[in-house]
Amino acid sequence: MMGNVVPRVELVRPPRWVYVRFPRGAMFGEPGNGTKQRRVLEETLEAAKAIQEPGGKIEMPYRWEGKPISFRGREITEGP
Amino acid sequence: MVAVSAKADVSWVQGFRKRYQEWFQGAKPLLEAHQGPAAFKTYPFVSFSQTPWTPLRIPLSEVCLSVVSTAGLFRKGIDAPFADTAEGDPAVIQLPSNINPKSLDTAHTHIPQEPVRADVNVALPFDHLWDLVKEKKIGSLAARFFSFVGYQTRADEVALEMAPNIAAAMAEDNVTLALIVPV
Repeated sequence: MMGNVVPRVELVRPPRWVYVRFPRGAMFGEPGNGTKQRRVLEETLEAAKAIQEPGGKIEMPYRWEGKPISFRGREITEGP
Repeated sequence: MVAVSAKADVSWVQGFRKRYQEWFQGAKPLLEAHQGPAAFKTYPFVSFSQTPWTPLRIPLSEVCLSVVSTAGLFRKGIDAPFADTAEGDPAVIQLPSNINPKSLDTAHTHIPQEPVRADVNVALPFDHLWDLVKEKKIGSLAARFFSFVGYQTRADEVALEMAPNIAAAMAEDNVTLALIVPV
């Protein structure tokens, strides 16, 4: 599973998950940035093997590099 | 999809439903006004004491992968778009994994839609998944992926109907690894 809000994900106790620090709606990175999307996907799938304990989490090092996303009067680069 | 009984712990459902009805009465006007933060301050969140776990015993190059997206993706001109309701539309749409991603749109009104419309790979990376199959880094993609709107207030319906139905369909497709991508 992927997630961008730690307390919300921990509430549902997924078997294993990857924390991505991207804005809601864009869990693999910026539109058109195929290189980053591919990297996030590949590392997410590798986490399925790498995480060996229930509830294990891996945090991705990537950050949003595009313009902040406007949503309901806020400018978002990470999280909900 | 084939309906199956939930195998997970559902002992919380009865208590949740009671607290949910009380919560929903007060929250409904806020939800209908899309004032989520205010409405969910008093939501009867469920807490669990156990974490489910099944180790992945085969290499990624052998898995059959399916993906669950909560981005509200649907096929333009084929599927009815998800409804925007106070409790969230519980419909689940099955997407062929070999679909042209450009034929998809989103009906999720609780996320910024522009990035998904500009490039659906930001929410469900079809193009990169197929590249990984071609490169033999993952074994195969299941015939079906699953899409719904992640905004769902009825946790009981998610646990008792939506999730078990998706799991049953994945079992039919011999899925060995599922990636859940909430947005």
